[in-house]
Amino acid sequence: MIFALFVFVPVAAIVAFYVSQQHANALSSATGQRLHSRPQHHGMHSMLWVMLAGWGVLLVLTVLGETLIHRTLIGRVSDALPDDGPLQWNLVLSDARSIAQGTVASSTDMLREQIASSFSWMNATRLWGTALATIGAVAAVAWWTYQQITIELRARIYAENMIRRGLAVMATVAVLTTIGIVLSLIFETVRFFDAIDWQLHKFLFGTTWSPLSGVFEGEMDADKVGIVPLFAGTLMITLIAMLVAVPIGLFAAIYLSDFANQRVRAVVKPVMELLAGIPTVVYGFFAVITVAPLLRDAGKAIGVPIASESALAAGMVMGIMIIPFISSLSDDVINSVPQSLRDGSLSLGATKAETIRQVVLPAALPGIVSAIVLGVSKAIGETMIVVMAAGQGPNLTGNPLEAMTTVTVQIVALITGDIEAKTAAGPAFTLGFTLFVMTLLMNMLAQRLVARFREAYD
Amino acid sequence: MTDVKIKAKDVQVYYGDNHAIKDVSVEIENNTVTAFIGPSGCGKSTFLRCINRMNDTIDVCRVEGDILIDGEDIYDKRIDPVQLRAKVGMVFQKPNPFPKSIYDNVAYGPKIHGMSRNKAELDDIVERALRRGAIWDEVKDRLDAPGTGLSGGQQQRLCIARAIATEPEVLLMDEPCSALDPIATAQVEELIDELRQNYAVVIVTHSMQQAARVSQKTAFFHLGNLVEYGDTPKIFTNPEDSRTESYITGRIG
Repeated sequence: MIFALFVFVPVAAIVAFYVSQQHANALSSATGQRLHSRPQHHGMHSMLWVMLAGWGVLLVLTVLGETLIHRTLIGRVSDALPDDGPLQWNLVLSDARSIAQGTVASSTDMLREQIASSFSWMNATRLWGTALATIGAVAAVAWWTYQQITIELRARIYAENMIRRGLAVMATVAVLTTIGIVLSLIFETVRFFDAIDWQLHKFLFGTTWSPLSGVFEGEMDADKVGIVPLFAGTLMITLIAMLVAVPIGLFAAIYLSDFANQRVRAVVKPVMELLAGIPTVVYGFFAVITVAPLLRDAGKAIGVPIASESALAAGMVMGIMIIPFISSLSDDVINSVPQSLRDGSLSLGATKAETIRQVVLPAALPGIVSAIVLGVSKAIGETMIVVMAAGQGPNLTGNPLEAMTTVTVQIVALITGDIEAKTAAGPAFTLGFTLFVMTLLMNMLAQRLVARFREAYD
Repeated sequence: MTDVKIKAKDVQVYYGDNHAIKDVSVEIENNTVTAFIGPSGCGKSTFLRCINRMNDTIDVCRVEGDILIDGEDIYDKRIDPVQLRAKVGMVFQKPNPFPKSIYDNVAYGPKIHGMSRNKAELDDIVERALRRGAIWDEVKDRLDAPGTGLSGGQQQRLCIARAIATEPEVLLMDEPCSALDPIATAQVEELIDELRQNYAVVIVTHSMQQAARVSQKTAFFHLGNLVEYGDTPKIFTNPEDSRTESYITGRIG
């Protein structure tokens, strides 16, 4: 019913659009005067008002009605069972709903039957009331806007103002969501720090990460929440990934933009960009099933022990994943360096290599730096590949051939582990917040760098 | 005054299927300013770019025929276009200073060709080039400032200074004043006249007044053909070909 109403509103709005448009047209030809706004603006004006009123009434009544029914019935259940707690009351209520809707309830008794019959008629009243109110609102508003149509009505200006406000609301939603997420991160982080008595040094510089071992619900052992092994792992794997991705990506971009002919370019560029479309899960099992054993066997052959889960395998595959981001962005900025600069350099008797190294790359540097920063951000935030290929043990080591873990992997382990979410949430949110701050600082630093280069050059 | 610097014989240029230059033969003299004039798309810039093989950078471009500088065929397989371009400098239509300091812009060529053994020598080369580019007085106090921060006319003179810093023997100029105002144009034209002492200067221009003012020889191109070539005063006062006359009097173009 509610869904039908939800669909009814735009249909009614479209009808209102055509009716108002027709009316405006008729008005203009009847009086022979020019309308202030074009007929379709009058239609738009009616349509927007109808949608606003219809959906608004629908939303408010649905939420209000549902809350009102819940409150009333819970009140009656709690009067009947004063000795039980809210948990029991809610159970009774949900049973009653099941009975009313004809599905299976956990148990049936007099009280549940009574509540169920009350629920039935209350719900029916609510639905019919909502339907009547919505249809009434739509009709009233449509009539009201229809009545308003005159030669002078500034419908275009009103409609455009409504659209502008609608756009502003959408922008606000995006901003508020971001603020909400950050606030919830901060809130949980503060709770976590409370649990370790604000011993921040132990969190930031501790070398043992094992937050859930030997703790009771809601408690934290400050000696076991050191994030150093996690960040060491993240940095190590990011470093390996960038060592793979930056040279390959950048050199590929230089080749594509300055050396490859049109035919090669037309083939290579889309294929490289295909790499960006591969889901990271696929990269993850590629790392585990193909790259890791390959590395292990290669290590065996030259007498170097390489663990089957290693930072090296994860980092290399992550690097491959990041290549297209770096190459594609760098290719774009290198291409956007004007041909006139290349011509200038070549006409002075510079070779192609000298031209690229001394003129093209310096001019493209800001863009290349931001491409690399984007790559680093992706590497730091990447989860799937490391979960599969780098291991889960918080193992503090400088050796990339051993298993390591990263911040993101630990968040996955905490949230998907069999510890109850309430206990695991604290450390998980705190790790998330730390990661967020880190990435934010890095982006800010990169923007500074880019701004400085820009200043120097234009 | 009459030794031939550049000798072109039966030059053909194709852009893909488009036959852009047809049978052009011309002898360009040393210590002379030679102007190429003609309506847009007549091939004068294309021909100019053949002289330092800049057309090599365009995939679909094909050049046939001989172009000799000092009697040496520049399209010979043994000729390295990089070395050729060090000998034949070029100034472009739009000023194109590198996104580097004024000093580095001028020092770029000399550094690449190893023309100096130390910083003092390089400083000297840069100063000389900027003086000959008639821009030294305006920039001597801010050699570290970016070249892109100069005004349009200053940028173009900087580009000329950059081109002559490598001490070329021929200077090609592709409409060097088309982006400049009359004052900057006058400065550049004065400069071109001075440069004639040391170089063979070839200038492509859309302005017939400019051709008349700065050049001693003029070549008129039309639809890929070299229609007429001779002393500038003669071309402008008593052209032999009717097409030249039509262009000069403004009836075609």
